[in-house]
Amino acid sequence: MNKILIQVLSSLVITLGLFSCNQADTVCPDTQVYDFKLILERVNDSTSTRLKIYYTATDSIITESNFPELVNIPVDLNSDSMSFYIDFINDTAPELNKTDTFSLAYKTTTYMTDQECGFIMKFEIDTTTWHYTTHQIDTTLTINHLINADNEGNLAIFY
Amino acid sequence: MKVTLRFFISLCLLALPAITNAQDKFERQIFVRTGVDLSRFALPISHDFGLTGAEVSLDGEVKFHFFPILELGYNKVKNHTNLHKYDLHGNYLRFGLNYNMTNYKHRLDRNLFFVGARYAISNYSHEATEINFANNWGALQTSLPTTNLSNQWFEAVIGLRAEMIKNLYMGFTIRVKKMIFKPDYGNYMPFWIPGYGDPTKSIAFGLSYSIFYAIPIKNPKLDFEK
Repeated sequence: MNKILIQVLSSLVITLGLFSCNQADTVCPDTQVYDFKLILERVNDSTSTRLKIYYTATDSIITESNFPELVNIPVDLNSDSMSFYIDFINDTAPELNKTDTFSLAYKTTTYMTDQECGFIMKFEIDTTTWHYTTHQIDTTLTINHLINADNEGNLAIFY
Repeated sequence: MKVTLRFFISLCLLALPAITNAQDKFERQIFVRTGVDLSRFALPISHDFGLTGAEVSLDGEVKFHFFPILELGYNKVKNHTNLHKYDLHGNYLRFGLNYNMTNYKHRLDRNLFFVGARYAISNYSHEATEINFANNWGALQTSLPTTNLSNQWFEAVIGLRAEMIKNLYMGFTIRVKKMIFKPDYGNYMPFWIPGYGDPTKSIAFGLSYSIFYAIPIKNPKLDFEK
């Protein structure tokens, strides 16, 4: 067998190998930590003009707007449960304001995706401990108890 | 699986012409060939997640056309970023047989164009001493304890060995690897399986480019010595 041919073939293959073995075909998630997705659907409320949702542990406002339909809520990494207030605010008649609370418990899982994307954190909602008051909230519905990349929402609140 | 099967059938068909000429035997030089895989030194260039490694091999012709081979290697991943500090290290062993498809016309001919097969096993451990997460509510640092893992796979290979100067060879091996045993990774899939590669793939491809030195053990008697 011709040595020169072998040398050429060898060099060709090693070059091709080096430049093709690490082609990135992975699409990494756009976040390391997924948010809890809350769907809010106005079905019976005829008095409030806007909603305010805040996290009780930090008293931080998550959203304050006119009837949001989908709210992304960051999950508290250092806790296994979260509680929220929802203020149903009537700007012209404050006596009609109502407040509900809702709380959820969850299990945290650290997960290695692959060498390109590294580690992500997923959460699983414990639907048995899902709790809410019903001053303005009518019903709720669990859509997906896994907090992950799916955008369909985790819980729906009908008010 | 179908791809692997097709590959093996192709190898068998390729080997047939050489097998039919195997009866043209003559006394051959006995030697042990040691090799170093040079392509392992390029791993940090071809893979950007802190992969390094080394591999050596040992083979020899025990029977006309048949070259048993042993390959030993080491891989290490040191992937330290702001998000995590991940380390993996482990060894792998491959053993198998190369079948030379070159019809030697001289007792000292030693160039190879071969097909072959390998059984491979890899033992390794990985850990993440730091995994950092953060969002609006704050940060969390967690870790992955040291976990020992083992994988086994089968390889079909094809390659060349060319003697550049006396006893010094260069050559490459193209590998198709089929995972036959993998442990339950749980939530922590390894970044890399030493000797195999990407753990997400059940069939993987590989390439070795090596330099070899053949240590002669017994030279054939020349015709006038007989």
